[in-house]
Amino acid sequence: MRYLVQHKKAKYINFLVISLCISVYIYLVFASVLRYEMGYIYPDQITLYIKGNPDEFLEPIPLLSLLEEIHIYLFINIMLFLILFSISFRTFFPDIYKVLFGSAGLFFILLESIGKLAVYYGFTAFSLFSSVSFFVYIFIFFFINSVNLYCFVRGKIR
Amino acid sequence: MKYIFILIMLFLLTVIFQIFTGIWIFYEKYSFSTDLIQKKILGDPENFINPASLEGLLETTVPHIVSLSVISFVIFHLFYFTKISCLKIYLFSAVFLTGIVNSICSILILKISPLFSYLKIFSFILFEICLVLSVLLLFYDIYVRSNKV
Repeated sequence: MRYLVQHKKAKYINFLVISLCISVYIYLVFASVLRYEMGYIYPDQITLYIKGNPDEFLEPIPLLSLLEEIHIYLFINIMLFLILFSISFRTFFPDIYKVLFGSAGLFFILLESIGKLAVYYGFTAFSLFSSVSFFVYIFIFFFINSVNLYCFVRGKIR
Repeated sequence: MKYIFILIMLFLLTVIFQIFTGIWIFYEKYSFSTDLIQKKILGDPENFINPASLEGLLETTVPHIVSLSVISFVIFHLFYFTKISCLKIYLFSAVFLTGIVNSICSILILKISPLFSYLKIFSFILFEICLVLSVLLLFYDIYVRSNKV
């Protein structure tokens, strides 16, 4: 990365990083809209989606579907985390904040997935953790992506 | 250094959780039984299970081949910062090969022989053991390194 950003073709890598940042924004917005449209974003909605409601004839989600969803989103989030933070390590944002935001992001990604499983097994209070965790890690990704975009546009890179 | 250590440990914990959900899915789907694998892929008229289509199997296989190549690269490139030994190269080869074999076994069961269900279970177990072993080895290497610093 050091070679790429200091090389005479640095404009090319800047163009690639800026394009990536724009696509990550689009992904984050659409992931949030998808969750909202599925009615799967607030604590009571998460409980209803996972546990169902016999009074409204809503069936609970099968365990296999829930596990597959967790498995896929965990993979996507790990990859997104790696891409965003590997770019972030070349920016002038203070190192301690990068590490703190990274640790918080990973913690909330884990908590969101574990929260869903806990709700499935009857611990409905975890729907609050799952909902809050989703908002927090989306915010962290959004923030780090914005920092990356700003630093690469303004040339504040190491 | 302490904060980076926490970050890497959290990352490895997330990968461990990802592996754990993979094992859980396999258990929920096939219960580690060759009979069940054959029934789910080849169908079972007595239990009203339709045979899987090639398209359906490919929809699972194709993303898995990409994702397991990426995840094995991501985990094993972290070994670059530790002491590289033959064991790590063998582990990488085992993870990569068993992952690919496990992914394509469903198609082999459908198109060639149901006996590949034994290979599917064997390759899956070996894949998960090697992956968990490599993550634990990484935990250990990073722990030793952080103590030295």
